[in-house]
Amino acid sequence: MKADLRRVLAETACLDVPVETLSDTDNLYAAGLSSLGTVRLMLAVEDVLGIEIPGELITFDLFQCIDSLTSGLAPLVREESVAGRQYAAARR
Amino acid sequence: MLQSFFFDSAASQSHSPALWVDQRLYSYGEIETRARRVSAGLAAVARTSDARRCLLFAHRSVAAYVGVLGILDAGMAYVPLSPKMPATRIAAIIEQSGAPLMLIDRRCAASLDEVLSLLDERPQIFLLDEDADDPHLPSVAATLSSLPAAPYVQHQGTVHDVAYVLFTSGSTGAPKGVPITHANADAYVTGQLQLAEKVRDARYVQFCELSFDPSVHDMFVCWANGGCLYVPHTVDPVYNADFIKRHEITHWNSVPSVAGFMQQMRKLTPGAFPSVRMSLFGGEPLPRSLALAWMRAAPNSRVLHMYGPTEATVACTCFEVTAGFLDDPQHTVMPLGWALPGVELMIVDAGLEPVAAQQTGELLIGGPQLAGGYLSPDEAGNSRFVAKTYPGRRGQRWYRSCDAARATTQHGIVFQGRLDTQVKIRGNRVELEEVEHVVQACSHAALCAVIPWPLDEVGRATGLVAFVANARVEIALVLRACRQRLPVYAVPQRIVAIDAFPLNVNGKIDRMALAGQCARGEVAA
Repeated sequence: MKADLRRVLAETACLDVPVETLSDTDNLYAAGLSSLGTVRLMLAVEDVLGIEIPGELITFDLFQCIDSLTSGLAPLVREESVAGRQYAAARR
Repeated sequence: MLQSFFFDSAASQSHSPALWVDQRLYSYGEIETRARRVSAGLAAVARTSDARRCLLFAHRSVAAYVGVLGILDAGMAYVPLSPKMPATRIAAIIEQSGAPLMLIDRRCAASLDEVLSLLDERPQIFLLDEDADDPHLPSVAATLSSLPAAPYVQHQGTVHDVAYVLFTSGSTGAPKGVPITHANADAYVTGQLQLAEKVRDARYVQFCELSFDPSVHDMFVCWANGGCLYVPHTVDPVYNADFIKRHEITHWNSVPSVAGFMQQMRKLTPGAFPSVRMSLFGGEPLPRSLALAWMRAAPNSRVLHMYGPTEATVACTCFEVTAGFLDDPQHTVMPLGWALPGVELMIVDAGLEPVAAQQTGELLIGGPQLAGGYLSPDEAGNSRFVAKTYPGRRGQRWYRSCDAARATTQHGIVFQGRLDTQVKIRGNRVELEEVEHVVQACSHAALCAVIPWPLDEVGRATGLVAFVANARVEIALVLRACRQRLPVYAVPQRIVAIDAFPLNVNGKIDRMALAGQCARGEVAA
């Protein structure tokens, strides 16, 4: 999932620095993640992973870094992974 | 005087909380003591021959609010510099402001050298007092000193003195300074106190930068009401939705975009913010869908849509959004509504004569909130301040807003678009010409045009696309130059190199055709 996240970050989040230079624990807000960037990132992540993130899981902590996104979203992806990926692939 | 709204409350409720910032609560008494110390120090270093203005280069920390109050108490105007602005813009504001003094906090001191290297003449700089026990604060160069300790002397000012100077986007590339007097600001705050009743134990959010004038409303309407100002440490919508709940915020004030991001992040659930009693939205159009969602999320709140340029002090019209108004799906955007107490409005044609009832024209703003003009007498924008009398109106001076408007009997004034190339990006004023000026200079393109794009469902721009006629342009370099010279909201999201510009019948760049290219997806936004 991390590779997917990195690709989505690079395509949608408009960070100040290239995603390749960020480690999995570097703070995304410090890297320039804006309000608009957060919205675009969330919608793109849902699209690519074929999930819908429930409101209560959408927290300030979730978008802190690549690791927090991975661990926060893992339960959703595991449950819906197969169907989700097929759905996402079909939409692309 | 503007600061009296704070100091009067401090005199009667010294132990009440006045400010919550950086995880700490400060009482009126504590802030008063610290502000008087700044005031005394400034009085000791100020030279009588100098302009009575003081730059304030600080994050929204306790030091910044103490700085605002101390500067005003010393009889000076505060000139806020946002740490989010690029160094070149900060330097341009410092130069234009003519301020001989600067107060700076530790976090901004880190970027001071870059700013100073761009200046010919430097102001005297003093470090603001901060909580020394905070381990997160960076250390600073030994060359920066604090204000001297000095005995406090009450300054006797007049309401005609300038209280603050804010800078807005100017079409020539240089920001325009707007000096607002105590009389202007007092008129605004007094009007707000008439508009809404006092709430006990009120908690006002202070969301925007001090360089953006809704902050004047937040600080001084809050303190006049004896409330406590709550300062979120980031603009992140998810953090702020949680902030409202955690601190039981009673008074919310932001541009609609901030609430829009909360809605997109699924935080405007029904009943999410029961503590909120008053919600103000201004700076850009408030769409119906968002007003509906906010009213459901904050069911105990009045919702007001405010409008007004910095030149007329924070806001000059207001529309109270009602459930009845929102029932009509044709009301896609909230109207501007009616003049605030004391404000006079006129809708006129190009010759400044009143238009017929219900007709569209330019909105003129008059009354005690109106600034005297721009800081620089040479500023071309001064022609927008006009002297004229109209039968039945007290106003003798008016500000031409460049906003097209129409008066309706049911909903007051309705916004009909801009008469120039100014756009609003998330509530921030951007002159497209200013951005074009920067893009052209750093791309060496013969022609350049900046188009507001993409647009949201009610037609508000959420970003900018710059078109340049130079096939060999280095896009990364142009973007970097833009980031160095423009505020972040004015930096184009994309630079598009094209061979030839579409021209209209008058031989001008056809902006509609460029916007059409964006709309058809020929340019990825």
